[in-house]
Amino acid sequence: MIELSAVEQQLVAQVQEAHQGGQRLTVGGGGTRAFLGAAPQATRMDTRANSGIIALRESERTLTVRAATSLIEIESVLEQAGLQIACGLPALQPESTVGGAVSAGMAGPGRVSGGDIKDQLLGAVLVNGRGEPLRFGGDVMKNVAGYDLARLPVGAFGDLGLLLQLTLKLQPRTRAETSLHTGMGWEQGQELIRSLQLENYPLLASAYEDGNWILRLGCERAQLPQPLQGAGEQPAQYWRDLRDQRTAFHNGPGNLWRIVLPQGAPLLAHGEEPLVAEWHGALQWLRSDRPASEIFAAAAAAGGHARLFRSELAGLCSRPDAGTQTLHRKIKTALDPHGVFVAGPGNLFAEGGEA
Amino acid sequence: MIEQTAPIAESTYRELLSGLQAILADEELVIEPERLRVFECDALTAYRRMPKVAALPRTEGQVQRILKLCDRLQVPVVTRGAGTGLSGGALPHSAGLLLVMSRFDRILEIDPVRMLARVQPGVRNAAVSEAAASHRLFYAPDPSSQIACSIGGNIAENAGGIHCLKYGLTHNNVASIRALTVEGEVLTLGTEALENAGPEYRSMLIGSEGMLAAVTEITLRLLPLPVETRTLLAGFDSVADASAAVKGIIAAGMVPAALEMLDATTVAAVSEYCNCGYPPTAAAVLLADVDGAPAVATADAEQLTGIFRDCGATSVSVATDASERARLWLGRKSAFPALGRITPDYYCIDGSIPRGEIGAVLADIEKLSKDAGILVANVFHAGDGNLHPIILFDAGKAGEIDRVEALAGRILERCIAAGGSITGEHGVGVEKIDQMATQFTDAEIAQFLAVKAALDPNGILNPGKGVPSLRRCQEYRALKKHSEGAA
Repeated sequence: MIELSAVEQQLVAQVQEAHQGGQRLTVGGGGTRAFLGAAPQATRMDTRANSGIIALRESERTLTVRAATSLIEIESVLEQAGLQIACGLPALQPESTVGGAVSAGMAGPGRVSGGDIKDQLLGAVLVNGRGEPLRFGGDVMKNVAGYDLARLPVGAFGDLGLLLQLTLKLQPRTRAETSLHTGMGWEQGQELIRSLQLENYPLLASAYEDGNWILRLGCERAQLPQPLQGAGEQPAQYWRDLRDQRTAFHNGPGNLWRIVLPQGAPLLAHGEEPLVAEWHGALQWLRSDRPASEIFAAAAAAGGHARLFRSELAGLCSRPDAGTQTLHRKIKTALDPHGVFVAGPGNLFAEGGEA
Repeated sequence: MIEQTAPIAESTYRELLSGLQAILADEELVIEPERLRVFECDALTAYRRMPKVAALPRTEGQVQRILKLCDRLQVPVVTRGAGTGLSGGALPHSAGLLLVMSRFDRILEIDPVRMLARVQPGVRNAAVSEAAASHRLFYAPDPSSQIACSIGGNIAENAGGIHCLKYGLTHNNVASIRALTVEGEVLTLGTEALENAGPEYRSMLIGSEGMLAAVTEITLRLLPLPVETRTLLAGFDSVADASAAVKGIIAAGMVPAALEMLDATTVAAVSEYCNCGYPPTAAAVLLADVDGAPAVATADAEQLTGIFRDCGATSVSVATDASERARLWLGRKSAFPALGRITPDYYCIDGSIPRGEIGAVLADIEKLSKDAGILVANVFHAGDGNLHPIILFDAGKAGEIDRVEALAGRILERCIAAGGSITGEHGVGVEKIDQMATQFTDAEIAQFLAVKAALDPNGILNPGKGVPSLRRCQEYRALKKHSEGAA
């Protein structure tokens, strides 16, 4: 049986009542991702009290937490243990929660070395639309019993259920770290990244801004190849600001696009359009006033997808294809037959998503 | 046990055959019992069943028409890759069609810039890495059957392997999947981009044992080949010391590429079988790979040696060159044939536990083995906490198979009690379907069944596998309670 706290029992009861009474709920945590889209037409379910670390198993390198635990709290506990969540979960505000980050499914700069958000997830306790708390996955590294419904809520924006608890895989922090700006432009930097990858250098993250590639490596500078010996130092704080989108670039005026691409994708900026890239170029943050349809087409042509991130028009995103939409309707009904849960802002399947 | 099923009605069978003849060429359709015999089991050979027909299509269009036909006639469809699965996931249905994907055997594209391989499901696992090697890339998941097993089968069971400690399981290394529903609808799940948008339907399909859809194409993520690898072998006087070393390695923040354990029975068997240089009387050995840039591999090998010594290793050797490394791995890779020489039959099971529990669970497995009077050997992925107890027995002895199944069940229940899972990488199949009732509540099982019904309303895809009916769960729990009460 799943042991639930009093707070969790109350949340479960709230879902059960909504299921019986035909109400509609939208799961709310810290509310720090509300800018991703329009507020849903449903009663906001305040989950913030469902907070706290259930178990940090340092020798297993796993963490079980309640879904509304703040990312800042998790980070400070992990830091003391010399551990981290490999991909980095964006803590946009002090109130940002782990459940919110998982539901949004958008990884930080560590994606290229530590995997995406689903790769961090080992197990979850999910409340379905009938108000049944269900445990999927577990605390172990490998588990193929039953369908993988533990990772299903990643990127679902709360559409498929209420996350109560999460178990995450942890990664040790590297013994040494060097961050430097290479002074290299787009193409030259990509070639360097490529050769560092093939030579197995511990490349933790990369960023491109102001026409210059910045690298984060998990080793001493002395261990780096010759071309990097003279490169300028970059403060390590840079990566946290980038992860948490706290830069002037992220918070400037106008339309900000978040475009996710395969590795090796071309630069999508036109002319003087400001752009910051991460993930060796596979994540491109673009400031552009071009029509949304043009951005979607450019992202699709390069094998990726785009989302209008910070803008008065937020909510626009590349739409899933027809097959995925049908699949989503079927699985949504299987998990939430009465449609109790209404997805939060940012939901990919929201009406009128793509321009 | 396999559930009995009703035979196919004669009229349905005739309609099925004529439908299939319109879709498939003669040589793509097998109906003669003598030719169907090769498909009667996968690598879990204790379970055998003849399919009614087997289809060996070559195109996605054929698969689409076969699925629609079978759905309309409500004829069960079991999809089969290379047939190397260890949980009976590809065991045929006696009233159904076996969908053999072996002719989908083309690597469609290796993209060295995007680091992707687009393949058909019948492509062998090892063939992907072979094709990518000239670009200094590889496909990381490496199940022991990788020379023969297919990528489609790897998707079905979320296959693991020796190096998933560092590089992840199948689900961590798949970019996107193209699959067909029973209604013939094409699904493209996941993305070549570095992050998926929307719910993780890709993950839901991986490990679903052919019960939700039929996979027709997969895009895999490739990784840079390790520049340098060191292989370490450490001998121990006790399983407890070796288990403590595993715990110590994880707690020290190390990520070896592989970390395997072999117990005394296995070490003795492989030492007799091949010249692998293991200490033949060790109570346990640990075999590890550390890899990466040369400086990293060297430093990791030193740190690992230190942990082995601190935990009481009686011998540690480090191999650098390829032939030395291959010799150390030969012992591990020969474990199954070597054990096969000392027993008429063996049965490999697959439990997953927290890594810190390995010592305690192995001690209890030994106790269960003694109580049952049946020998159990252990050779497994220690770094992941993925046990592979191997029960050594003689199927010729009356009642032995039932006693082996009972012992396997008790071992899996012990894994669940340790906070683990009944399967780490082999899948549930027919083998572990009863233990699903111990790992999951009725509400969880009902949720799995609802997901299944949403995609496969007539329940034609691999019925009787993976997820038990609620009635079966209740019967199993009642039976267990009864036998525990009697004991």
